[in-house]
Amino acid sequence: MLFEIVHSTDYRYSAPSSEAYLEVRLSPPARPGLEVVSHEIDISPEARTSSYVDYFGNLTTFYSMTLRHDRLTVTNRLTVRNHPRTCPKQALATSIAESRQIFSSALPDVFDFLQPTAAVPTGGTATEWARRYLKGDRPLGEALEQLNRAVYERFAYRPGSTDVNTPLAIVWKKREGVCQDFAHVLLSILRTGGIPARYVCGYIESEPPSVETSGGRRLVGSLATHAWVEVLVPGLEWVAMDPTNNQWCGQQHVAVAVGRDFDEAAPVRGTFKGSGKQTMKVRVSMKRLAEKG
Amino acid sequence: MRSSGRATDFPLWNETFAEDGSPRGGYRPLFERLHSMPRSRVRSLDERLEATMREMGVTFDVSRERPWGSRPWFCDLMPQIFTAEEWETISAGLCQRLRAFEFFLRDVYSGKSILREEQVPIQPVLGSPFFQRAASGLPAPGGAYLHLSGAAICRLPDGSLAVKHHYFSNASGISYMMQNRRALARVIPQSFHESAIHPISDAPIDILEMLRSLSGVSDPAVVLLTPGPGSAVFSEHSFLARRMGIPLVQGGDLLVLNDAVYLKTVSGLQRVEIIYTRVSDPWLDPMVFRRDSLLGVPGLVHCIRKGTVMVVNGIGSQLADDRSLLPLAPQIIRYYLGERPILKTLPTFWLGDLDQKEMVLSDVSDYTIRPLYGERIVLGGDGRRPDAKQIDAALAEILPNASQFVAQPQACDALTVSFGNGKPTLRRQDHIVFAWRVGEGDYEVFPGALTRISTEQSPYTASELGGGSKDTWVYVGFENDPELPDAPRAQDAILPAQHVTSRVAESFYWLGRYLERASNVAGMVGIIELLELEELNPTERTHYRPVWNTILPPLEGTGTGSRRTISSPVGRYRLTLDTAEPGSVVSTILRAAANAESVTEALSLEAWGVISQLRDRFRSTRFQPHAEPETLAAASRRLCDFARQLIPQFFGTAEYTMVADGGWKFCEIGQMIERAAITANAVSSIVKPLLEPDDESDHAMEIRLSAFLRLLNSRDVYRRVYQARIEPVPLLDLLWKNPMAPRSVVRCLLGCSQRLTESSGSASPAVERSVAAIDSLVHAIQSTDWEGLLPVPGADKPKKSPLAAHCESLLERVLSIHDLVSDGFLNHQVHMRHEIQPPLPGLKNAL
Repeated sequence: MLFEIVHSTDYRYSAPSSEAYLEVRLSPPARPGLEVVSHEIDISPEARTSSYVDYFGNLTTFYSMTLRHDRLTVTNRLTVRNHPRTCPKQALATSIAESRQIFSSALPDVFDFLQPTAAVPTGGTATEWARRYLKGDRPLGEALEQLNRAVYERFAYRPGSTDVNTPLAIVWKKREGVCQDFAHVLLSILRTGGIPARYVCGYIESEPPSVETSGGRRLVGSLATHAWVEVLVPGLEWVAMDPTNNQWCGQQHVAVAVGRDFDEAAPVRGTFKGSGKQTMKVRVSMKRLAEKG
Repeated sequence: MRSSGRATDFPLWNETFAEDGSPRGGYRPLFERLHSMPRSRVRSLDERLEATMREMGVTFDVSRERPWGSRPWFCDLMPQIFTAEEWETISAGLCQRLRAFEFFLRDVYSGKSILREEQVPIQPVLGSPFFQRAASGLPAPGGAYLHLSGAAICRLPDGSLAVKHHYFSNASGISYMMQNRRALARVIPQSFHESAIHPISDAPIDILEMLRSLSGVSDPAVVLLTPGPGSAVFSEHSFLARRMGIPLVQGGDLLVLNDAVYLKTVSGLQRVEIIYTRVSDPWLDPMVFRRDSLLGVPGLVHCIRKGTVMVVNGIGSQLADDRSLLPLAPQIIRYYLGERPILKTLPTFWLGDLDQKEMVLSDVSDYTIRPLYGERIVLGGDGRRPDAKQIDAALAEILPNASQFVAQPQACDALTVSFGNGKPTLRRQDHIVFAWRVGEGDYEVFPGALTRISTEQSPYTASELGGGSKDTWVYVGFENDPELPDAPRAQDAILPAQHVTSRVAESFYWLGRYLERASNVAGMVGIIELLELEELNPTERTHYRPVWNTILPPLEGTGTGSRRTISSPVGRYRLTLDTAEPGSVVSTILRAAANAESVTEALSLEAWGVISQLRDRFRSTRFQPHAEPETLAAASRRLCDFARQLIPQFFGTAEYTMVADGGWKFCEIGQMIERAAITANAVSSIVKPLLEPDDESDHAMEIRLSAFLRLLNSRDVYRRVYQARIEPVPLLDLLWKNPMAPRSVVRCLLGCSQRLTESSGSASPAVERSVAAIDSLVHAIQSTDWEGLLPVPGADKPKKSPLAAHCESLLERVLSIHDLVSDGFLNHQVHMRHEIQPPLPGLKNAL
């Protein structure tokens, strides 16, 4: 499937800012099945940018603006072709106990994705869930699918019910949230259960051009960025699943940044100096293009 | 000599006395000297030592509530002595550890071989809160993480030396080590001449040379980054920067532009190549670490990554100081060096490990329990067995987060004799020793230490917990020739003038503006109170009132703020002492004092003394607006008079005692701009009611003009200049353009441009721009024909009077001088627009 995506982040200040710095993680990572046809990041006001690859492998753009300005806009324009993914059947057929064994032999490399972070604490209620859904003798793939469904079913998707600072404990208690919270809940259970997993920030096609092609469902997400989870499976390959939409990620998901949690995978992170207040608006549009020929 | 009452519940090594009660080797001559003196003489030496510390400005602030500099550093009369043999062990042991931990850090932030080979457990290393993922793949300064490090050393009960804590990432305390030596050398100089000990006064030079050698640039710019005067050890930061001759900067002084770090100074942006940081990793860059940090420099880590700047010690070094890694030190030394550890490690138990936790909890009163980093103590640490209540409280904190704590036996540290207050008393002690990196891969230890002792006020040795200290002597061995002793007075390096940072200049600028504003408001309130005492006839009164109400408060912007009624004593009292009134004398003075406080390192002690006296007087006066009117009037008068005396006194004192560099200059520029703005604002606001009144009585006009001049403290000046009755045109001339009248707008503006030009030898675009703008404004004022602007009697009045319009346009231009100064010298908008090459196109990567 061919997609054209425009993602804009617009900061406005009540009083001009004298210095602003941004780190932008908006470049789709190289991965099988995802073909980047064109990509550009525009930041206004214009200034020199430079980039680097961060700890989690995200191509990150650094921007500094030291002249007075009252508005700052980041626009990500992306055309990608997403091919169907092959599922690592053999890895998913491995039992959870054996998977854990494999991970522990690669501990220095997978350690980060087993640890709690400030946004994703482990233990607590997650322990019961991990015990129930991640039993040692179960095949990994089946267990993951069941766990993903359980999160989808037992938590209510309610836009506006949480914000970026809502602690996970509140989400557990209220059993509602947005895609970010669904991803954090799933991460917390997986890590508690000894399965390495990471957070993905990206785009989702929520309104397919015709109902038939998407299997008759509209997907939740869009207007802003979407979030889901990638699980490490034996063979140290990442497999993506979307608890907000109860499915393995497919051609309608386009990843741009990964990390251990929302904070590390934030697509735009900035800091400003100025006396005024700042407001931010995010808008994402994702359109399917017809393939020529 | 034994102290009455035991100093501890644990068996500790005695540093100063042998089993038989006789002084150990090196201490004998000192004891003999101190014992031969009468007690009163010892006490007076002790007092002199304390006074010396105070005079040198050495402080260590443990309490946040107390203002800056309130707690002088305590140094004991009796030094700690290390023999040459003991020192050999300490020195070799510390260098060995630093070499091993340097390899450890490089490994953990790259290939992680020690973890892959399972030589140490992964959890405490990669799970440490001090393991910085951002440090992976980041170039370490000069290829190494650790360049200037410290470690705490203690004695085990058998007298052997052991490492208690690592301060590898942050060697805090070097200045205190040096200041102890300076102070003791002043108070008991003869003892130094009799003992062959190593000098330590070159430490800052050694550090500076080490820092400079890291860069490939021939003359790299080095700065010391401090969290600011809010830090307990700010006095150390400012001492080290002064001694090294490098700028002491805060995060806000630095700026990232085109992937390089710049220091904002009043003469423009200066590239910075090396940063010696005393701000720890989590606060260093809000883009990478804590987002709420205001102490750091956004984008700094990116500049390190791009190789344009080095930050010492390397980011991520704090991992080496995580106490849960202490028990792993022997493995780490063996793994990387293949050597046996020279120095023992004080037994340390990480409570994140179940077995270790169980062991500690079974005898918890034997232990000192601390977090993984920092000086806070949760249990023990005072040499006493805790009672059940203390244990319960500590466990309530520890058990839910056990992995964040370690335990070490209380039976460490040594007993020593302290002569605080002239009386020998037994205290507990430990030592912090310091080392710096030399050449490729080795370290050298400064031959001295910060010996920390418990005191009468604090049972803890840590300075953060109120402990005291001792000068520490390292004896030169027999085979070595004695070196020259440390001079009691050493010269600070001389800073080149261009190092005045924009932040310092900005604080000075606002200090000047706020003080001038406070002085004006206080002057007006004072004069009104005085007039109220005088017998005014009702006509005079009716003519005075509108004048007061129009020009008070003289806020800097036009038309801002509400007009207060200051015709009542309570209104004037509020304008003097109400902290809820943003324009009140007290609010303005507190803001001035806050600015002064942020640049205390650049203010003379005398000038700071005046400011703190002013602030304290206003702070300590209780705000009681419901008292009798007479009481309120008297209080307003008293306080306003006080402000009117102290503010000029501050400027006078500062002129006498301050280096006339760019920083101070901005205080005067602020004062001038504020005064010009107040004059211009006052004149503009009275033009309509005063000079174009509806009734044309000359007498009424003169009363009004006289009142107006009195409020601006200019009636006597007017009389001296004109020796005639007060009339509109001469008044306008006097206040706008008279070059001699102290508050005329022209005089203030010329004062500004003179100060802007005098310091900068080379004309910068910012200076040129500001001076040109001021010149043109001065010309516009001087060429104004006031007579021609006055209304013609009998003629029809135009809707908008030409005089008022002209005054307002001049006022606007006066106020815009602030933006020029601000953009040109303080926030560098002018400079950057000038310097920046046409911006490159944003990242457009077709992948």
